[in-house]
Amino acid sequence: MRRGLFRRRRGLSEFADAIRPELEAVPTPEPTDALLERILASRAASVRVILPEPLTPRPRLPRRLIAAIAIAAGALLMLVPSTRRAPSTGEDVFTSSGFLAREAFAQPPDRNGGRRFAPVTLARPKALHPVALELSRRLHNATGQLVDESVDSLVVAPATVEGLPAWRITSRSQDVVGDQHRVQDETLYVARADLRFLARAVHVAPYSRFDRINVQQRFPGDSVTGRMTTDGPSIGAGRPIARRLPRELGPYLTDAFAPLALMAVPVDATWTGNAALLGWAVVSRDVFVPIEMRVAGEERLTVPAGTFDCWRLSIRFAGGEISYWMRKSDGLGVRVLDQRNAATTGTRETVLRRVTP
Amino acid sequence: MALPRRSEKPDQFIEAHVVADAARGSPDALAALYARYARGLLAVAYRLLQSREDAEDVVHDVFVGLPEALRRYEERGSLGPWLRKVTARVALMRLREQRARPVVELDEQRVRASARAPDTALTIEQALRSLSPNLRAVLVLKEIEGFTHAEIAAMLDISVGASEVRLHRALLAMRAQMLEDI
Repeated sequence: MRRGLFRRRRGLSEFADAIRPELEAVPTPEPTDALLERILASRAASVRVILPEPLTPRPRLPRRLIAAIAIAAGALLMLVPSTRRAPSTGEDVFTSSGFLAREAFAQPPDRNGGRRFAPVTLARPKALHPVALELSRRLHNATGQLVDESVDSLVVAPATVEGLPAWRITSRSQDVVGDQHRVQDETLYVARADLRFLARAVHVAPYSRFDRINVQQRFPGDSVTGRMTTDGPSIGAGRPIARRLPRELGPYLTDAFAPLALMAVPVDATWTGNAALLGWAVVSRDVFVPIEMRVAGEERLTVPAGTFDCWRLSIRFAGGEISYWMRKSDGLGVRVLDQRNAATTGTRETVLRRVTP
Repeated sequence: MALPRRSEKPDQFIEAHVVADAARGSPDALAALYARYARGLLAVAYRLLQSREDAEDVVHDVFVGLPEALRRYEERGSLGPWLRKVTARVALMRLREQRARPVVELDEQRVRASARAPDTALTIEQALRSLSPNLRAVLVLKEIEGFTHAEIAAMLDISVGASEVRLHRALLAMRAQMLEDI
């Protein structure tokens, strides 16, 4: 049997040798002057890209050495009391950090009638449709110099959740937090009929001292339930999620849903509305933050995706106020400008780069 | 015939100057590096992504980010292998992003299915395209780009064993597809 296996492998190895020249000869595109011009134009426009480091392969240890290390580690665990630091039980970690940033959630939400406007009504759920967006996220320092730029993506696609027609909204955003280059992926399922949340998954890698954090949420009745887990190191079963989402404080938005939600809302020059931005709900101060929105003006705005007639909205929440531009034609978010820390860390801006279709 | 070793020194000396200038953001130096390396980098990205547009976007991002990256570049060897690794990683990141877009994946599948007419013999290029992105990535990185399984495992965040298994499966799938058409 081993001989047969060896023969098969040798045959495959010979096949690989035979096709390698053909594989290498498969035509590939030639670099063009236009591409070089695009590169130099991007540099001249102060576009910056953070490149990943080439990874150094981990040395493969001999099996005997691995076995010896395993035995030694086992012996240590049995003999020596564990000194490993337990996962923090404080509320300094496991909080979301997206659309309105962490400090928004750091403020206790005003739940007692501080809402000046009526709840936002998602009156046109059928306005949401399959679409793919590219968003450019930029950070300018206090002197106005572009210091970081990344491209986020957002895709709406049809799906079915337990037999219910739904939209699957997937978003990927990148950010630099301290020394960490973080990637956040969110997948949100909403019912096509009324855009209520059905399920949500968020993955951030790396996150704090973890290689990755995973947040799974479901939305039974007026609650959010689920679990948070971590990879590298794992904190075992993770943390349960079980929080109430009062209906009167909704509708709830997430980072992925925020640029799309107002597609379902008829907006005019006098429009106002209240909503809440949902956090990870792992810790008590990161469940949701109420936000209030009002039309503050109208502008014709040019972004990389094109020139659009927009409503300019002022979005207020416990941590401050940001500006948001949405297309008049379909309510799609075009630009977000956050100048709350303009004098210190700088200005954050997200603009629409490409829309497909 | 191998070139005399002495002839490498002036090249390395010139390249070191170009790299230093590029790290300072000189457009001329960046253009010189583009002239020297873009073809190979575009080929790496294209083989992984199977799309000219995506491959050009990857090369664009690599060269736009290059000056800042070169300031951290400490490898003593030639710049070429380092650039190929960085480009492969950027292309793989893009591949992962594409896989997170279900609509695009469906469209690609339809395109693949319709692209192959029943009477057309399967070329090696088509066989390569027909592989899943996971298998194709390992096949390209190992058999064409010459990375080791350890390097591929690090790039794809998988074990060395998994890289070996994927290569085995990729070759089996390629062979099966090509034999089918004989």
